Amino acid sequence: MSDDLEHAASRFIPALGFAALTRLYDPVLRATLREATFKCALVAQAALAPGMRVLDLGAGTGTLTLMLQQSAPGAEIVGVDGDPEVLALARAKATAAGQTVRFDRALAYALPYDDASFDRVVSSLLLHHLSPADKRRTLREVFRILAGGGELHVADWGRPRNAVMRALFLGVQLLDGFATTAENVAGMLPELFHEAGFVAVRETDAFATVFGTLALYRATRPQVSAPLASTS
Amino acid sequence: MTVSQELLEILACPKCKQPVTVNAAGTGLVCGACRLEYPIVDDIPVMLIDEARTLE
Repeated sequence: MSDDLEHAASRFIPALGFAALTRLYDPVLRATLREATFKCALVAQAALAPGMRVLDLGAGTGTLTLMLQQSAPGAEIVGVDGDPEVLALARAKATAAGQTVRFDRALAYALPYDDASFDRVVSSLLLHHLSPADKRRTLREVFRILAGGGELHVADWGRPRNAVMRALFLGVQLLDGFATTAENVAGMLPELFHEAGFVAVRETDAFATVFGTLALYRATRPQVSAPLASTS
Repeated sequence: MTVSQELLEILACPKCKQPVTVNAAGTGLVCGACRLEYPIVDDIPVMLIDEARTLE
């Protein structure tokens, strides 16, 4: 791998921008983001089946990870996050729920998994935390660990649908940074998925929240590498 | 230590992406190629290159 991976510091932005706010993350999300609504939609879209291997990328406090497990008890769910504090909360939640979900600590752009080892990668509110360069590295990593035909399902900030949504999103940008969120606002995520090699990229849904427009996306890793344009 | 076999099947070194093996004490995951040992803390594999121990 390249040198920049080698020197990748354990850089992650805590869930609410500041470590001290981590414990407030769950109540804040529940109250403000219609969390149950969009996460249910994301889980439904991922359409898990028993026997699938599924990665929750940027698992945070594990809410989505546990929902994924409940949606497909026979699937093997792994949650990964870089932040030890949210992982501790996630594990406590899994234990309390009596669920045997596995959590790993790693960075999204240096994933510790074999090539083609997952059928689904599901990710909620992670990409807007990453710098433009790290978003691209992360999507290449997701592409690498997905099996052919495997799918990426994402919920993240999309292009604001109107001026009100745009104004509201300034709050997220103040908390999470302007450089990391600019591409979300520009509606560029689908383009980044294409760039990483994904096909069948679609924005599937959008939710208005008090922070702005939350969009759902899906993308597929092709069975074989993309063929050159056919002349037929 | 409860590192399941399925877990090991897909876990790889985040640096070189080669398979890792559990160390003798069951407290870490070793990448032979990179000579790095990733600690397991509270049952969570810490697969961060910066936090790995360099093996002699």
